[in-house]
Amino acid sequence: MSLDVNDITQKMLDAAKGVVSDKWPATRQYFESEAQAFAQRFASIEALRAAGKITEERAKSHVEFQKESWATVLLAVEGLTELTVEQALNAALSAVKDIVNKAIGFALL
Amino acid sequence: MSSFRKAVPALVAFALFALAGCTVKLVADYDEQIDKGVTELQKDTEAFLVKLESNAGTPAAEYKANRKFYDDAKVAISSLRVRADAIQRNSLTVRMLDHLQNNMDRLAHDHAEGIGKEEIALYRGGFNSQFTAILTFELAKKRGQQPSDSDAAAPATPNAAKGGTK
Repeated sequence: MSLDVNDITQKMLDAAKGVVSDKWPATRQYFESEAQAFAQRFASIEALRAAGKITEERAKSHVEFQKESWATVLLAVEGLTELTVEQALNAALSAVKDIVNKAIGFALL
Repeated sequence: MSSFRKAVPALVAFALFALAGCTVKLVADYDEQIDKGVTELQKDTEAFLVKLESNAGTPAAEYKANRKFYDDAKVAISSLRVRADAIQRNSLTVRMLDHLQNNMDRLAHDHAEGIGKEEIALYRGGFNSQFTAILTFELAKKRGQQPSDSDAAAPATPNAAKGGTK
């Protein structure tokens, strides 16, 4: 039995697309929700400074604080994206495992 | 583009053989101790900020009366970092903990200079984003447990949407 590479390719792509379409929207919503919260915080810093409640130096310190926090969020988004890639890859391999193993005659995948 | 399309099946065939017998793993597994440690630190930090707010303007809110919190937090983050660093493919969590320590140091610095009650919401919001980020990623490492649409859309704290103090 010979392998139909085009058929295998399509099955792998379909499996991977299924994972990405399932996982990515939640990650995107998390990112967007956090981005909105940070924008509001930067507005709060500006309002405190404009009202004279904090010094210019303290306002800069608050901005640096929020930048550290934002960097943490971006690392989480990067991690969630890597997990999605990992699951998409494994789903693609799993989708063609039986076909490939049967054609080859032993458990290759 | 058409040459790329022609190459895809060959790439797939190559990938199949290269990955033979493998389950791909790009990031570390879930670690319960990091989950519990970060959750505990979040509670301690929130309790500390609530205490600062309620005692604002009194000696109990001054930096010198609260050094123990910063010392304890530094030990807690350092312990979590050492554990995270000992786990393979866990560099993202290590870097997230480094950013958390940087902000704890910044809060201590600002506190030593004096902080106003109205500033606390900014610290709380930033810390909550960091704790949420670390825990969201840690829980996702269980695989299949990335945030649901509703969880992702919901603010981490009730007043996040209004005041930007998430």
